[in-house]
Amino acid sequence: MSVYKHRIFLASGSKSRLKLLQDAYFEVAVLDQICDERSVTVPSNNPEDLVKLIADIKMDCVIMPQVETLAEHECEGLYIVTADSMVEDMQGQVHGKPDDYADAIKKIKSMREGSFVHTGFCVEKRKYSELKQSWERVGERYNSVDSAWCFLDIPDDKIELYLTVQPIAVGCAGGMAMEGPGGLFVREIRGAYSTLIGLPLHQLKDALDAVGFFD
Amino acid sequence: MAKYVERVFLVLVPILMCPLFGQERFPVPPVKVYKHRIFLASGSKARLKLLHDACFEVVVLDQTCDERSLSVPDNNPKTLVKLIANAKMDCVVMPDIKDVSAQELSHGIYVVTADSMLEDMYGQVHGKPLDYADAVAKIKCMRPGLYAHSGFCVERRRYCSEKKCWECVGGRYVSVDSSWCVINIPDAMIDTYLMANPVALVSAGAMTMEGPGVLFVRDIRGACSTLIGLPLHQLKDALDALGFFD
Repeated sequence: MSVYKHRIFLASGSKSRLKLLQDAYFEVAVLDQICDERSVTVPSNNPEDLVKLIADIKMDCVIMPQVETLAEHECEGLYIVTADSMVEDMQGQVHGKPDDYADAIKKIKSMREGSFVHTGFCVEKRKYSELKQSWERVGERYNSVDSAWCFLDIPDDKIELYLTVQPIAVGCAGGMAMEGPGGLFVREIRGAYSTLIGLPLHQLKDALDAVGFFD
Repeated sequence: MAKYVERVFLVLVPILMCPLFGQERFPVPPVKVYKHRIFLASGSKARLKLLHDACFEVVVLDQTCDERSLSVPDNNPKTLVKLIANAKMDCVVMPDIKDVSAQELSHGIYVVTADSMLEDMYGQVHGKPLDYADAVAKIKCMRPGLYAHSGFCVERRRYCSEKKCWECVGGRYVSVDSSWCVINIPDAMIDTYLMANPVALVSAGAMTMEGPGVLFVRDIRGACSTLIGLPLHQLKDALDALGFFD
């Protein structure tokens, strides 16, 4: 038995986002998107504006699923989600994924005073038009961003332990992964936990509600 | 009444499906991460999941503490959960030595107990809801925010074959942590929340941070694990002091 009537089509390769949605009992189908996010900039250089914009652009670059693979009601209305996250340390420096193990250690050290995570996302409902043989938007597109702060306390002699129990951290922005074993090191959070993981679920729920997901 | 029975049925199915959610879709890595196991003397599924998610190998033990008989003079929930976790440690039903490896017998096993309480913004402490209606009332009363107080206790115990009993090695660690959060569930969503999240009906204050509960968590101040029932960052320090990670 499924909790919700509809599936979510997540156009993101992030395992953490997938797990977050699955843990909230959503049925998720993963899609691809072909946005080149490195080419995107905002005049203000504000990471909050940037992740919001990237999530918005990703929505334009989603590779839609084959109609034959979908249930009939899904061609009438399908819910797509895109997202983007960035980590900012207390000096205002924005961090991406570490290059390697050594870089991960360096990033972890620079995050010691705490870090902000900015997560933008975009939600759209689309339906398939037989006439035009293409997907078109139903209702509004929702584009929003949320920020949260957290303090991962990893002393020098525990960095190795952290990277052993939390191997995915090397592939995460700023070398920070708070889920699962990461919880051993999370001393304090200000804001929503889901924002830190990569998808502000409390806002996503409002956006989904507005496009009729829970009806 | 018929509606309630129907609801009970609806909530039972996801409960039975829960193991599928947790285990099949996200298998625990086959690599053994820690050398030792944790012996958790708590019946809480949420604590067990928290430890499992953190890759600990967990053995669940019983404890025979009558927590309702305990009280503290100042009625402070923070002091009380700490006291209860401490009292539970004295009441742990230790495992049969046949179920414990020789290495664990000589090094000692790590026993953990814990207790949690929820307090609303008016200072009222909440336990498990009595029924569906009570759960709805509790959810409404938690809207401005809530404090979760989680106390825990850790001991390393070694088996003394001469005295034929378990002995504590290296002292007992007792600690408590509090966190605050806002779980704002609008009226129209309460049924969805309780239906998708049946564990809430048997959780203190009808609040759960796991599963669909996370859809409604707007703000947290403190540690997520404390809200769920076991302050992992403090537990890690206590385990570290007792040589768990050596």
